[in-house]
Amino acid sequence: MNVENTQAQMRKGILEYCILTILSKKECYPSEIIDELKSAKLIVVEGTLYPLLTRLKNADLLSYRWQESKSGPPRKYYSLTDNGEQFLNRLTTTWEELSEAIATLSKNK
Amino acid sequence: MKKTISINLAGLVFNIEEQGYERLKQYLDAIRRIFSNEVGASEIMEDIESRIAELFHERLGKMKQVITESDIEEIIQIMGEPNDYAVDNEDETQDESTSSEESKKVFEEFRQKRLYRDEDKASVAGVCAGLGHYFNIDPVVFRLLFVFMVILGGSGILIYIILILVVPEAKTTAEKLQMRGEPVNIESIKEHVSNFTEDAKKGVNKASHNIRNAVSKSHSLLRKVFLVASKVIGVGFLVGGLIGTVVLIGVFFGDFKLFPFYVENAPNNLYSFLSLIFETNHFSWVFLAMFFVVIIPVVSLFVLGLKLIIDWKYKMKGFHIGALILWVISIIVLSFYGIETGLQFKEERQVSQLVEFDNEQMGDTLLVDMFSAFSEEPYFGDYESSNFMRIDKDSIYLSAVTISLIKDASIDEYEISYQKISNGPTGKMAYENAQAIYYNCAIEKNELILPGYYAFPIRDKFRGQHVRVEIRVPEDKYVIIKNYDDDFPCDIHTKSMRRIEKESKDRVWTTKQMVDDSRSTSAINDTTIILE
Repeated sequence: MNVENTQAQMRKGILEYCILTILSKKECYPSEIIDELKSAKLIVVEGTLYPLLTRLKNADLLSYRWQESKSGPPRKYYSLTDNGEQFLNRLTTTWEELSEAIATLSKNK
Repeated sequence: MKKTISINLAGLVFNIEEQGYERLKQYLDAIRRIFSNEVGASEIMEDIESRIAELFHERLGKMKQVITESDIEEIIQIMGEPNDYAVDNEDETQDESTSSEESKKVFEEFRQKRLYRDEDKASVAGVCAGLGHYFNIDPVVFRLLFVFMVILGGSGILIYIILILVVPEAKTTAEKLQMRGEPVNIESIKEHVSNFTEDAKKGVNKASHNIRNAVSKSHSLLRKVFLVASKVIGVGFLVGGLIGTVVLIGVFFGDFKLFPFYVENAPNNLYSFLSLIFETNHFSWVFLAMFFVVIIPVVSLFVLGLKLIIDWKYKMKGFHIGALILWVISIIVLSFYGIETGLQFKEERQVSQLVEFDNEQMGDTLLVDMFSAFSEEPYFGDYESSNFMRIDKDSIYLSAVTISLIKDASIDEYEISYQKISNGPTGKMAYENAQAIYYNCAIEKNELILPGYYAFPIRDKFRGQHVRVEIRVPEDKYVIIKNYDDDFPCDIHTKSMRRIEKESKDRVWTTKQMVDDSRSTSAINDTTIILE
């Protein structure tokens, strides 16, 4: 058991929640999502994101539309579906419960 | 100046340096493998490629038109190593992530590699060379391993044959690259082929190629140790193989008197002797097969020794495979005729003969007088191994008579009989063989003249012919074997007989119950050997 592994595990666990949160504010293409995640120090490399996005899309939580780009190939702009909204709400509840639980535990110490 | 390759990534054209292209291709292949079991893998790949295209685009401008290898490295830094793409943390045990990463790399390497036979570097059929490529170990190690397996029971030959049948030969350039674990693509194939033709142009033969390889690899101590060991073993093989070859050729085809038991003028060699055992009209072929079965491993040992010591320039693939096939065929021929011959021993029959004598002259003591098979001299005292058997033009003489002394309280007189016993493929033929055994014993007064040998016609061959003399002794009688010696070649079985020690060459048995015995001067030993 080492610290880096556990940290990586925790980050990975909430990555989906984070992506949904970012997309709930505005429609984004992957690079934007990555920039936000990077600034929040949630991911280090971009590669991790693509399989996640595809999975969320296949689970009907996300949808996308193509948009031309001035620099490079056309981009996929992702947004939440109705299912995605509901999913996010439930995750938010869970997250709040969790952070409350952690706070309680820390206080009691 | 560097060569560029033009690629299409997400619908856009990029010029990319050759090395950079290789790196990128490897990278994308590795990612594709990671997603191979994933639903929507192609979509993920499209996304990744289009992101890479975007990153390329950012790096290009009017002054920079080509993607370099360092650009690729940078992009891989951004995108992450292939393993970072694996999102499923369930199958990754976190505690050993570093070691599992390493083993994953090794595994990747094995997955790209395939086991082929390398006939370019073959000693026999390239099995060991192929194994060497696969495990990245010098093929000498495998060769030695096989040689030891051959010496220790010959299982190596069988395993080798199975491997030849199972492992395909690397024929195409792509297969040869796969065999070495190198990536298979146009560039590597081109490189391989150009190397190959270069070699051919320079007339670089296999030996010097090997030396070059050896020099570049020889930094490892292990290799040096193996090199020295292989030379030492090579000398041993060379000498052993040479001596073995000469001896075997002498034994099989030499014209000197090989066996001591042939009498003058009879053909005396391995061929004539073995033909007395095998049941076949094609014995010359069986003999040849026998020769091949023993000579091929010995000659191979010699050739192997030669190869270990010097760098053998000539490919002898045809020779090796030919020898191997010949050896296997010989084994099959031998097995076939071996079984055929074994069946000749299926049945056993015997012919019994009672020895007639005048009971009045017998008294209470039977003297047994045994004579040598091959001279008028008494048999005992000058027994040599060559006296065990004699073969002349017509007959085989064997000194293997069994004598049984059995106490029988139900009779009043000695009963002496002999059985001639033989095997044969059928009961009838076994009986005929038994009848053809020549044996006769006679009684003069109370002395049994017992030839120590019997004979049978040479055309009957060895079919387990033997003779058993049975002497049944009534109570209160004696049997004396004259001039008994420790070298006595015949087996003597006794049942319920008591042996009396006596200070002479004779050996005395009695059926008397009492210890009181005028003939015995020393202590009495009871030896009761139960007949089989």
